[in-house]
Parts: sequence; structure tokens; C-alpha cells
Amino acid sequence: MSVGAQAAIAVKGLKKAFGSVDVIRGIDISFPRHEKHLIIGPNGAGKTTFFNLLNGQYAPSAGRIEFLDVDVTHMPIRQRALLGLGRTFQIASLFQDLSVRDNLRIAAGAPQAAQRSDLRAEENMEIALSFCGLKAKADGAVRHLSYGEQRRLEIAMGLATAPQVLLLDEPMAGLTQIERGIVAERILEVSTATSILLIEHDLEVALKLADKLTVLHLGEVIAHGPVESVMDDPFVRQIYLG
Amino acid sequence: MMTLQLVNGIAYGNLLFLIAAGFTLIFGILRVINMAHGSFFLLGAHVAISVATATQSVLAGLIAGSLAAALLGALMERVLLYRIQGNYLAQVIVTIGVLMIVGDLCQVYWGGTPRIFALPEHLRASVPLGALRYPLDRLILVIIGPAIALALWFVIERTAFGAKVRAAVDDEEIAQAIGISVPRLRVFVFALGSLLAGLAGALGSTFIGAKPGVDLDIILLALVIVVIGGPGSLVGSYVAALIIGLIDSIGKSLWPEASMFLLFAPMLIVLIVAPHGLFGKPSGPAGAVRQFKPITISCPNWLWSLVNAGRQSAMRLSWPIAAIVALVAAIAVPFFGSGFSVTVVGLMLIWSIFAIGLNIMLGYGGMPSLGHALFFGAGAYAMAWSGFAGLNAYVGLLAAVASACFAALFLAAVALRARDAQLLLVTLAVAQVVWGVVFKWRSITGGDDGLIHPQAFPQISSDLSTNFYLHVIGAFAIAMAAYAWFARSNFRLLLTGVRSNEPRLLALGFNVDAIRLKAIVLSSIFSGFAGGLYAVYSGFVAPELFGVHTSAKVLLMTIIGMAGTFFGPIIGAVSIIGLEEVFSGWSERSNTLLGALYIIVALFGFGGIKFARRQVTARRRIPVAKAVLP
Amino acid sequence: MNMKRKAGIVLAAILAGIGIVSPLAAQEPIKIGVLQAMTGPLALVGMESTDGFVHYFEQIGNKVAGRPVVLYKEDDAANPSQGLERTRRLVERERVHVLSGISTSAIAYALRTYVDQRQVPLVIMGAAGANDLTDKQASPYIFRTSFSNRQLGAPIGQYACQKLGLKKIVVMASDFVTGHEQSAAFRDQYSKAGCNVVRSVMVPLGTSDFTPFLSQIASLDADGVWAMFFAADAIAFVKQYESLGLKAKVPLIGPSGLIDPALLGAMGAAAAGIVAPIYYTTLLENPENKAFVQSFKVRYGREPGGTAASGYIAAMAIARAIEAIDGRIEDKPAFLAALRQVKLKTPIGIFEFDAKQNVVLDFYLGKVGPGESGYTLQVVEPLEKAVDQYGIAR
Repeated sequence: MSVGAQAAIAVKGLKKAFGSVDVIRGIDISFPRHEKHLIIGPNGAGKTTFFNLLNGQYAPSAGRIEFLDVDVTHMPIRQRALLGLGRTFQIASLFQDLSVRDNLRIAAGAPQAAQRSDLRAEENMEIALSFCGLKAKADGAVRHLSYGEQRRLEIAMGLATAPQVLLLDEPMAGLTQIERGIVAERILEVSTATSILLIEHDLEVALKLADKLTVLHLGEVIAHGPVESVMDDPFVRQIYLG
Repeated sequence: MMTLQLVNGIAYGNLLFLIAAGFTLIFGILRVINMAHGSFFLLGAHVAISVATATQSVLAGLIAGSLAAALLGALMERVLLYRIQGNYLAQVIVTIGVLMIVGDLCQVYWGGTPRIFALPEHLRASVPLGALRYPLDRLILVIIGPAIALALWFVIERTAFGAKVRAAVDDEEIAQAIGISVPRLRVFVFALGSLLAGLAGALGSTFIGAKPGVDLDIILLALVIVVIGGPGSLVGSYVAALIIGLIDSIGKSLWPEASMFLLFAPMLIVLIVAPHGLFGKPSGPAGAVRQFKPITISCPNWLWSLVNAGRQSAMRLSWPIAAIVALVAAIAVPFFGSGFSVTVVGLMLIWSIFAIGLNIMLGYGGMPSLGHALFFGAGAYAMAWSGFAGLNAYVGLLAAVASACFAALFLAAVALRARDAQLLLVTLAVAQVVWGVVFKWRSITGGDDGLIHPQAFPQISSDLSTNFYLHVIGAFAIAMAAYAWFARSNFRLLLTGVRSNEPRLLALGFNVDAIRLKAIVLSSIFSGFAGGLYAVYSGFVAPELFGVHTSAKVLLMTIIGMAGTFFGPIIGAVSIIGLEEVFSGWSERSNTLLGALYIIVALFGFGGIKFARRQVTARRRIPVAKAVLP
Repeated sequence: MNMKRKAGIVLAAILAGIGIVSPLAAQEPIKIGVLQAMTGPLALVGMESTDGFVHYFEQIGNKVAGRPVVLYKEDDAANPSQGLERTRRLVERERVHVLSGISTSAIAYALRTYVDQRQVPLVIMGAAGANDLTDKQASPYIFRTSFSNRQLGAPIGQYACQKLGLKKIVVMASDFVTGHEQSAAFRDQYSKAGCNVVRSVMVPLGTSDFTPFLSQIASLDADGVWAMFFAADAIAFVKQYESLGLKAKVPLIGPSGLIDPALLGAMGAAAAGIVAPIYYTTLLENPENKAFVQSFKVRYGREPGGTAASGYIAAMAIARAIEAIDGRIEDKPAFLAALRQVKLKTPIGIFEFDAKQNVVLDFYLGKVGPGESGYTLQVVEPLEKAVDQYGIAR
């Protein structure tokens, strides 16, 4: 957790196979800090699997994962979270029985948050509540929120812990055009103290957010770099855009 | 002599296998903890004896007994359990209800005299073994056991039918999509498991026989074997059954006093060393709670509004006002009611505290426990011993709480990682082990006679009843204050989070194991406190304070009062104790009535029965009968 | 407003209902509580003694000294906690004047303090034979008409050694207080007579399979077995004793509980030949017994055993005591004094209590033999007369 660490996340020779199926076939990549990284790729490219490996939900078949220069390859989920790794889920993973406020309260009270934030947990919770724009429904149960609202809450949950690195897994999936705009704005507003890795399908919106772009295809990285140059890469155009 | 013990152990082990196989099949394939398994044994034995005596044919008796049990099992699955599929907690309660009803009705119909089948002369052969003889009807188990084991294995593993069963268990929706009728399969598996139990009962009718209480003995034996062998594993059941049979036989001859302990100690060791049993696999993700075709009872508007209003107000009760009202009502009781009502209300308060403890673990934390009596008993016995040690009763209460905490740590060591159905099984197992030890260790615990102890509350009122009652009210107030503090705390939030979405909490960096541990210990404090109070109430402690019936009762209280709500456990305790009083006044068949209550509560509490508002405009009313049949 | 009013009226009605305790008429019935095992493994024994008890009151028209008698039956399921709770109900809710029954010593001990503190006369007619109940833990309120464990265990001790010639006996008993006390009493008398107990084996209560225990006997060079088992355990034990081939080699004796007539039907031929000291059998030759056996058979369709007789006698004693004080059962000291002095002619002979309120019994040597329908207890010869609770003939 060194302040001077260069890479938010660095991955070397990462492989993951389920039985005889190779999903991740070898990834070597480094994501610099204080940037917003967009990861795209066709379905089945292994994007969510990649996140699951980073976050600790899956154990890699081979390779090494470094988080802020710390080797976390075999570290359990909880410990990675304590180091400052946050994550949101593709399917909103909230505490359905609790109110919006309580959900954020829990997130803001997480052990990893206390270490990093100067503010008290209650204040962090209020900030996160404004962030997702659900103040009016703060005391209602989560199960009564609309899909879009739940997704916004999901992102707020991820941010409430004040993570060093946040993995956003398809935050805009299933949202209306307007909602996507709102969410995109919010993500832009997140300070660069938090590095972001973002998986997204809606290119139009996502490309406006990202500093760097990574393209995954069949379990391998086929392009990685500033958005413009990757978009101009002919191979990428052929696979993805063509 | 040794040969006889060995042979006896193997024969007995094979009988145990038949019992355990049925239980493990039902658990492994259907994920149901069938507490009524022993009832099938009992029914099978009774029917077999009756038929064999009437027809003079042993074979007819065996067949009749097995079929009767199979029929009952199929019926139970189709009518009751099917509606609460996937909800292991509701299923446990329903099967406990069936256990009570069947046990009671068997006694009504066949009487309380133990029945042992006397074989007709020509079959009464025995084989010389050492200096004695060994009866043939028991020796034959050595052949029947393995034969059935092989048959079962063959059907499950090698036939197309077995493949269908395994597929249906794995993924029900897909199985149905390719044409497998899952409801039918469930009934079949249940019938098969019950048939095995009934057959065991019939085969054992020449020495175990049919008598009241044997149903509980059998389910406990099945539990031990299945925990040791691994829930869901037939091979495990066979091996474990043989081990237990041999331990029982040889152990009893060498060390008779320790026989109960010899049964439960291996179970405890296995739980600690290999939590999934010798041959078991970690259980798959718990099935989603499904609600299939609930029985719909249409009810008049006024009743609906009443029930709804009751439900709403219960949830929204402004608790300071409710607390004051309740406290005033409670204090008023000695003045208005008879001496007896004081006793009853005192008991209600004690059980409320006990249920609050379970509610913390189950309602808020989502950790079901079928062994909460462990804490209650620990508290009670500690209180009793504090009396012997001449300590003040208040110190005794502290001792009770400490003792329960200790028990909680013990439980957590074994059960912390267990979830859902597995956790139910483990908590039951641990409570049973402690029960067994307390039962046997006469010198310290007084054994099954229990202990009369001198502990009593200091006299602050001349009348005995009032003195006790005032103390209970004070204790209840303290407990409520602690409970309210818990409900408003951050910890409660986290605990709900554990129940609601554990992976999320982990991803946020919380130490979920630590939260669970705290929950178990906190839960034990309340329940142990209640145990200490109970010890003073009855002046007497006995092993069944640790027993299954105590655990089941508090579980029912927690659920009937809507687990997870603040006042739920109190409402539940008051209702159950109140109903018990009413039932016992009505008839001698209070066990049947209570069993029925268990079933109804479980079905209601989990969406198996629903009240539907009668549509004002619609004319069509779905008759209950039509809603029952799929 | 409306709701509050309604609530107020309802509340007032409830309070009025609870608050009113109208003084009842003088012909208030005599209330007797009967606490016995009606469910569970001891239901068999519990119902026997209840039947005997109820039978007597039925015979006298459920009336004593002009007052009606009401019996309140509660089930203790042989479970001390439940027994205590039901007792509370009987005493505090039903306000019984006398309590009777009690199927096990554990329950009796659980009730002892309660009954003593609340001053409720308790007449134990069930199988609660624990010695201390009428000895070290005696209370002026506790009487026992059934037996004390020492009483049941002792009488055959000397007889077995000297008359039966069994010099090396194995003692087997259920591992609970009754088993311990009865076997201890037997051992004392047996050793005093000069013979030797080769081995003592304690078997857990509720055992179904006695094979591991029985198989030891063959290797022990014993010439007799004294076994104390109860109800279901007794049935299983006796049957397995025979099926393992022991019966043919080693004679079996025991206390009366082993061959209680209620069990003989289930035991069948396996029980034939067992001897035990008994205080009751249907074949006892006295007019009270002949009448009792006859009426019991008509009423219940089966013959009474010792347990039923104990119940019958308990009822008789209570009724006579009440008569002696002209029905004023509310006068507790008078009732207790009357009960202490009761001396009756009953189916078991002359009945009276000893100084500590335990019954004094006459014992005969009983043997199981074939009868009119199945097997019965036959009297071989008288054993000892007027045996008190210490097992000593007066």
C-alpha cells in the first residue's frame, strides 16, 4: 500500500481455466494509478472473469497479480478489500432487506474506509447518498427501488468505502439513456485519488470517461493504451468495431 | 464372547444402515432434514407386528410395514413439504410436528405397551455362537443389509432412473425442461427413504420392538450416523453404521456406563476434524426458497383487515410506548390474576428472553440453530451449581451467562463455517453431544434424574410467587434494554448484512467470521440468562433442558413471531406458552395438537398457506381442495 | 373514539372476569390430582396405577363423606420438568386438595420441595421407590403406598443364597436411582447371608439390545442372575435372556418389577420359571382381593397387577382418611393425622404406614407359571411378613 506505487494493478502471465476450458489465456498488463481505464471486448472475452480474478473471487490457474505493488495473487477477498480494492457487481449486490441509508452506512463503515478517509463514516455516508441522488428515498427498503436506482446505489456503495482502486463491472447495463448520462457524469466526478477500472458495452458513453482503453478478446489483451490510438488499431477495428 | 459381540455389532450395524440410508437419501437428494424419520420406523414396526400376528406370515408383516411407512412418507412430502420446498427450516419444523403427531396417534391406536414380535415356532431358530446362541432373525441382518446397500447403489449410480434423480437435484428447471417430472421424483425419493425406515422397524420388531419413545431414539441414532458418515453419502452411511454398531456392541460389554457417551463422542470428533463427515462433500449452494402452489384460503374482508392491521402495527410499534404498556401489564398481573397466572406469565417472560437470543442468531443473522437448548441448559446448570456453591443468585445469573458464553465458543469452534441445512444439523449434533454427556455424568450432573438445587432469589417480598415474579420482571427489563441497544447498534446492521448478502460484506472488507462469532456469543448470553432464570423457577435441572424438544420449541416461538422482527420472539413465546396451557386443559392429546400447531405455523410462516383477500368484484372463489391438488 | 370505547369495555370485562372469585358453595367437591405417565415409555405402568386408583372411587360412587370427588389427571411423561409444571398447574390452578401418582423417583424428588413448601399432601402410588423420599428427605406431607426400593430388593436376598442355593450371582440393573437402590438392597442381604455377588452390571435405561451385556454372563461362572428392569426394558431383557440360550443354563430371579403381570403377556413363555418376591398377585387368597380382581376384570377387561393394586389401595387410604375426619379435607393437620393412622383390609392384606409414612408390605415368593390365559404369578410360599421400608421384617 505504498503511496508511491506506480501501478494501481499489475498482472503478469495471468491464466484461468475452468476444467478444460481456458477463459483467460495469459494476460500481462499494468494499469497506472489516478486514471480511468476502460476495458472492452466481445461477449465471452473474459472480462468479468478478469475482474473476479482481480478481486479474489476466483483463484488464478497461473500468473501473478499485484495491487499497489503488493502481491495479492493468493490473498482472500477480504484482505484485498482491506488494502483498498473496491468492486461493484454486474448484478446489483445490495442488502435487500435494509434501507438505502443503511446500505451506505455499512459500506461507509467498512474497515477499509476508516483507514483512508479523514471524514467520519456518517459523513461519508451522506456524501455517497448525495452522489447517487437517492436522498429522497434514503429510508425506504432497497427492494422498492427501480433497477436504475439500484445500479446507482451499487456504484455509490463501491465509492463509499473510499477505495484506492475501484472495479466497476458494467455499471450502465440496463439503464435508460438519461440514466446513463447521469451515471457517466458521476463517474467523471470521482476524484483521481481513486483509480478506476471499468467494464462497459456502451462505447459512446464510456469512451468519454476513459483515459486508457484495453481490449480483451478470447482471454487475451489485444490492445492497450490511450483511447485514440487503440481505436485506430486496425485489428481492434476488425474484431470489435468492424 | 468376542465373536458374539462382533457378530451382534455387525448385525446391529446393518440395521442402523437401513435407518441411516433412508435419512441420508432424503437429505442428500432432497435437502430435507426429516425429523420424523423415526416415526416411520415406529409405524413400520407397529404395522408389521399387527399384520404378521394377524396373518401368521412374517413376510406379509415386513411388506406391510415397509409399505405403510412409504405411504406416510409420500403423503407427507406431497401434502406438506412440497409447499415449502427449498426451505430447510420450515421443513424441519413441519417434520417435528409430524413426529409429535404420529408418536401420539400410534400410542392412541396401539397403546403404550411395548410390542415385541414373537416369531412363530418354526422360525425361532438360533445359531450356536461361543457358549451361547444367537437368534437367526438378527443374524439375517448381516445378509439383508449389504444386499439393500448394493441395490441402492446400483439404482442411484447405474440406472437411467438414478441419473434422472441426480439431474433433478442438480438443476430442477432444466430437468423439468427435458421432461423429468420433479414432483414425482421427489415423492419417489421420499417414499423410498421412508420405506427403508419402515423396513428397519419391521426387521427390528423382534428385539427393539414398537414402543413410545423409540421414534426419538431412532432419529438421534440416524443423526449420529449421518453426521459421521457424511450427509448424502450412502457409502458413508454404511461405514459409519457399522462403526457405530460395533462401538455400541463392544463398548457396552466392556464399559456399560459410558454407552451414551461412546455414541456421541465419535460424532463430536468427526464434526471437529472433518465437518462434512468421513465421506461427505461440502453441500452445494442452498436452494432458492421457492413457493410452490400455496394453499389459498380466501377470507372475508374484515378478517383480512384485522390480520393486516395486526401485522402492520406489530411492525410499526413504537417501542417505548409498547414497552411501557407491557411493563405495566406485567406488573399488574399478580394483583389481578390468580397465583397460577403469575407463574404462567413468569414462564412467558423467561421463554421470551430465550427466544430473543435465538432471534439474534436466526432472525437477524440468518443462522438457523436447532440446538439452542445448549445455551439454555448451560445457563440453567450453572445456576444450579452456583446454588450448591452457596453463591448469591445474582452471581448465579452471571455464572449462567458465562457458562453459556463458554458453550457458544465451543459451538462456534465447530459450526462457524457451516451454513443453512448443514448448520441446523451441526447445532443439533453439538447440543445432543452435550445432552449425552450431561445425561451420563451422574456424579456431576445428577444424570437423567436431574438435580434439585437450593438456589433462590433473595427475599424482597414475603410471598414466594411474588418474590420470584418481581425478579423475573426485573430480569426481563434488563434483557429488553440490552436487546434494544443491540437493535439500534451498528452491529445489528452488519449482522443483517451477513444474512442478506455475505459476499458483499466480504468484498467490503468485513471480517464475516468475526461477526458471526459475536452473534453466536451475544445470542448465547440471552439464552443462558433465560436458562439461569428457569433454573430458579423450577428449582430443578435435568438433561432435557439440553434436548431436542426444548430447541424445537424455542425455534417455533421465534418463527411464529416472525423471525427477524424486534417483538417477534416475545409474541412467539407468549403465544406458545399460552397455547400450551389452553391445549393441556382441553385434552390428553396435547402432543397431537402441538404437532399440528408446528405444522401450521411452519406452513403459514413460509408462504405455504396464504390468506387471500376475497375480491370484492370477482365471483370466482377457488375452493381449498382445488388449490391443494396440483 | 369508537375503538377506544370498545376497547375500554372489553378491558373492563376481562378484568372483571379475572377479578371475580365468588365464594363457592359448601358442597365444593374434593379435588384429587393424579399425576402419572400417560405418554412415553412408562405410559404402561402409569396407566395401570391410575386405573386402580380410579376404580376404587368409581366403586364408591365418586363420593366420600357426602362430598363429590373429582379427579384431575395430568401427564408427566416420566419427565421431571413436565411433572413439576403439571403439578404447579394442579396445585395453583385447579387447587387440588391431595396429589397422587408419580411414576418415577426423579419426578418425586423434583416435587418434594414444592409439595413440602406448599403443604400439599402427596400420596405416592407409582413406581417412585427412591429410599430417601420417606427417609432422609421425608416430609410430613409425603406418603407412599407403593414401595420403597429397599423393600423390593431385600426380601429375596437371604432366600436366594440359602434356599435356592445360588451361591454366585451376577447382579444386573437399570442404571438409574431405582436400579441402584434395589440392587444395593439385594446385595446387602445376599452378602449377609454368606453368598457372593460375582459381578454388578449397570445397563442404561431404555436399552433395546441386551446382547453385549448378556454375553458376559456365560464366561463368568455364575449360577444365577438377579436382574432389575422395568417396563419395556424388562420385556426385552427377559425375551433376549431366553433367545440367547441363557435361560436354560442360568436361573433368573429379580424383584417384582421384572415380572409385573402387565408385562407377562408380552414376555410369553420366556418368563416361565422366574421367581421374585412379590407383594401382590391375583391369586392371593383374601376376600378383598377376590372382589377386587373380579371387579377390575369386568371394568377393564384384564387382570390387575401390583401397580394397579397400589393405586387401588392409595385411593382406599385417602378415602378412609377423609371419612375419618367427616370430609373436612381442608383441615390439613387433621387429614394428615388421619392418613397416618389408617389401617385397612385391602387386596394385599392388612395395610398400614410405618413411622415415616411408607407402606408396610407382606412378601411371598412368586413364580411365573402357566395360567388360564397365558402366564400368571403363582405363589410358592410366604417369604417375609410386615417388611418395612428398610427391608426389615418387623
